[in-house]
Amino acid sequence: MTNTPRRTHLKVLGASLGAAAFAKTVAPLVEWSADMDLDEFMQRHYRELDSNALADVISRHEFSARDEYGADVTIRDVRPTPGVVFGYALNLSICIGCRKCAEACHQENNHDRRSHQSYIRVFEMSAGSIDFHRGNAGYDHPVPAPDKYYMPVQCQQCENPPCVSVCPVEATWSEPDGIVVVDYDWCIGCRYCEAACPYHARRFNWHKPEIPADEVNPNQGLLSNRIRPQGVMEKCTFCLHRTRQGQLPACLEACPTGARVFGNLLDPESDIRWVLANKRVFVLKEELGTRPRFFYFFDV
Amino acid sequence: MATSTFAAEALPVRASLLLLTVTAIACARGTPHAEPEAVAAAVARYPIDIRLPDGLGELRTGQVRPDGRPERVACVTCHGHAPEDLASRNPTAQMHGAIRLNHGELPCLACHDRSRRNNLHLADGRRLAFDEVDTLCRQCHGSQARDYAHGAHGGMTGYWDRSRGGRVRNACVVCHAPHAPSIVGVYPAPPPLDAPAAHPEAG
Ligand code: HEC
Ligand code: HEC
Ligand code: HEC
Ligand code: HEC
Repeated sequence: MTNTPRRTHLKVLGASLGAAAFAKTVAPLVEWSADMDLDEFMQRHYRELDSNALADVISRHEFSARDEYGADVTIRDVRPTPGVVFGYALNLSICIGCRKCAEACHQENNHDRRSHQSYIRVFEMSAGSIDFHRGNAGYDHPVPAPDKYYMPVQCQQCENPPCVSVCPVEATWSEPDGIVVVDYDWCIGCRYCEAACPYHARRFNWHKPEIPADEVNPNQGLLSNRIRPQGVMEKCTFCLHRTRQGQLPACLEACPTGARVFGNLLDPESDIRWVLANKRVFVLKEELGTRPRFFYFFDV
Repeated sequence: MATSTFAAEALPVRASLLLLTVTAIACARGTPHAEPEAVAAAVARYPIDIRLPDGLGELRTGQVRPDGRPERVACVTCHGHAPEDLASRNPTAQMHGAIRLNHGELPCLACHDRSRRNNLHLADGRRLAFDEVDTLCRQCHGSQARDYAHGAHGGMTGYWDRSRGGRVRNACVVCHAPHAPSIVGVYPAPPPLDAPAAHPEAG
């Protein structure tokens, strides 16, 4: 897909899906189109934008944050650092299921307050099982509960991401540092990626996110935590607006138990590499061949 | 005296159950070593600061000062003079009656120095100031100490990339009260409103 504007893709998609299904999958898009401005509609795919066009896009989004949310925000396009591929590991012997990570994500990433959304779901698991589909993400009692352990699940930043290959418009892709991102301006909201993800890591913006002005995190990334429009997909980006500047992700900093380890997989001296070499790590649903860059382990 | 083998041998029950079902993957599998290693450049590294709780090693009297801060008393106020005399008495009956020791079977003086009460001490008698308490913990908990040294225990804030910024880490006693170190439970933050409940039909 090179210089084809989005409209063409919509046509192609419509033809292959059947009218009813098409109307449903793109309903939010159709709703907006009445008041959508032409610039926005014709905006090229993120990866084709030159620096001038990018600056325009950024200032347009900054303006609309002020206009629609009353918040003064700074949006940056932080690029990957050569020689860095991010990895994350989580110690399941330490996690107590307090959901502080999910809460920090909610705030850091400007999630919709109404649905109390977060890129992290913490599953309460019975000892003896590692299948998080059998876990319960809605628990609401003191933790840790007897005979339970807790498994936080977020985007696994797969090396072979099934969500990327199913996207009909290439609105989502893997960056050189391993982070799978979404171009919110290009996504048509068909939700194929949500269905393709074996980790339930993608979320759909059913509504325009509601966030009070004083709660908006003003430090925003174009491809990460800027406030998403209605009708597009979103997902964990390992807080790329922080981590690409050398900082730790918000969920790690918020963890009161120290269960999370983050770093550069290409640096043999990094904490994450030490964990891979010294703990018996495993990945979720290894049999699918997704090759996650998110690892789990127990202390033994 | 306890040594580092204590912790290494203490296999957590829930982990041992799980290991039966978990396929361990060698690190070679998880590491994309086909890609070039980052150049281990000789760059300056920002420091790691260890955060200690306030008023470590002072007696909390439960009283409040006129300025609103809690009244604290140094140990030597009472222990400076006749340590042997005190030692002969039932340790926690009166003065420190609120302390409920639940830490292995350790006696008070495994950690507190008998004759210099403003100090802790190691098994070999070496004295430690209270703010060196991590050294005391590390003496008996070698495997956690090793994990901690590699960022895999105890958490941190700041920078993963120490050529760009420093880190703040917690001393062991920020999370583990020395007299009763097991982690206390909490009430979790609320779940997302669309959280899926258990799916008994799955897998
Ligand atoms: C107000 C006086 C007072 C202060 C201040 C005080 N202690 Fe004590 N402490 C005592 C007395 C009296 C005993 C003897 C046992 C008892 O009555 O509980 C004692 C006993 C102990 C013991 C039991 C071991 C033994 O010697 O038999 C330890 C350990 C101890 N104190 C540590 C401390 C430390 C550490 C501090 C400072 C953080 C401190 N104490 C501050 C009065 C005090
Ligand atoms: C595992 C080592 C260890 C053992 C065993 C231990 N302590 Fe402590 N104790 C510490 C450390 C470390 C501190 C400093 C932490 C602080 O002040 O919060 C401390 C603080 C204190 C204090 C001052 C703070 C407070 O809680 O009032 C007193 C008094 C005290 N210990 C008395 C005792 C007595 C009495 C015993 C035996 C019943 C005992 N300790 C056993 C390590 C130990
Ligand atoms: C003199 C040796 C010794 C020292 C010093 C010591 N511990 Fe321990 N610790 C033990 C023993 C023994 C146990 C019990 C181990 C067991 O039950 O398997 C224990 C247990 C623990 C546990 C597990 C508690 C539980 O019930 O889950 C924690 C956490 C812990 N210690 C933390 C600390 C910290 C923090 C310090 C420093 C303030 C410290 N220890 C200093 C010997 C020591
Ligand atoms: C950020 C908080 C935090 C810090 C800092 C921390 N720990 Fe822990 N530690 C935990 C948690 C959480 C657990 C798991 C407790 C559980 O499973 O209930 C744990 C477990 C332990 C255990 C018990 C392991 C077992 O098998 O029962 C020991 C011993 C221990 N820590 C020692 C240390 C030592 C020594 C230090 C300092 C070098 C330290 N911890 C620093 C949070 C912390």
